Amino acid sequence: MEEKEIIILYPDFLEDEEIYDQLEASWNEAIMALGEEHEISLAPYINQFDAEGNKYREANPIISALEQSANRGVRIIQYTVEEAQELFISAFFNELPLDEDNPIQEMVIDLVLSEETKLKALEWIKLWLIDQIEQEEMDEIIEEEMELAEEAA
Amino acid sequence: MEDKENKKHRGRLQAQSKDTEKSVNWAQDEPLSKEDGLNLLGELKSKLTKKEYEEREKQFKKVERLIKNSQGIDAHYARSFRNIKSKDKSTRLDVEVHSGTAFVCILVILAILFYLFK
Repeated sequence: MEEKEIIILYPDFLEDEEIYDQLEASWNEAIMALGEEHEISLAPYINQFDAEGNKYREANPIISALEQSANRGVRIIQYTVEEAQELFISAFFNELPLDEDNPIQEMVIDLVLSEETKLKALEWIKLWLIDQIEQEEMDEIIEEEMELAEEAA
Repeated sequence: MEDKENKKHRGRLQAQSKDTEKSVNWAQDEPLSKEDGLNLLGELKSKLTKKEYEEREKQFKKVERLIKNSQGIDAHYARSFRNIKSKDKSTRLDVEVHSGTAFVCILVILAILFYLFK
């Protein structure tokens, strides 16, 4: 069977500010479109500037989105192929107590970006923020679908 | 009882995985200094077993560099440094600034205190 060629998107995103900003905008556009399609408002919740006003361009996270009514968030951490060594996508969950009485339930996705991982990430975001499935079920889906670096190596 | 919620500067450093959930927190009236941030990182390290630390050794170095190089980090800030080689996808070290500012130079804190109380 012929192997499908996987194309890494924006491979030099950490080297070039312009490319980084294009990449960030493309994530933003994709996530906002997802929200609009389902008539749900999504907004960033992680500050992307340091105390002196300089923008963080480390892709940790490249983007964040909060669905306020359910208090669920998503952070996406993007790696270079060199950092990750091989293609992968996975995710974990975190409770982020910006408000101690009402912590944000976060799904944190980490990936190396290709068309395939982007589609999978958007599918997971839809399940978590829009369909609002339980964490346990989401975890099972991630376990089944994730591709870890050592598996691809 | 001390009301942590009313403190202006709050955050935590956290070592996580399926089997590990250890953290150190701060909640105070003035921004957390780099020195105190590094002390908290040392405190977190001391809470981990040898294996737990070894699984996150590179991540500890990254966070140490982050704190040392910081010009001050404002909330809401969250960075997760995952051990991507680990089979447990949640093995990681987190840095979170929930409110206020953290990892500032101690001279900046002195300047703020001087300004407030002059």
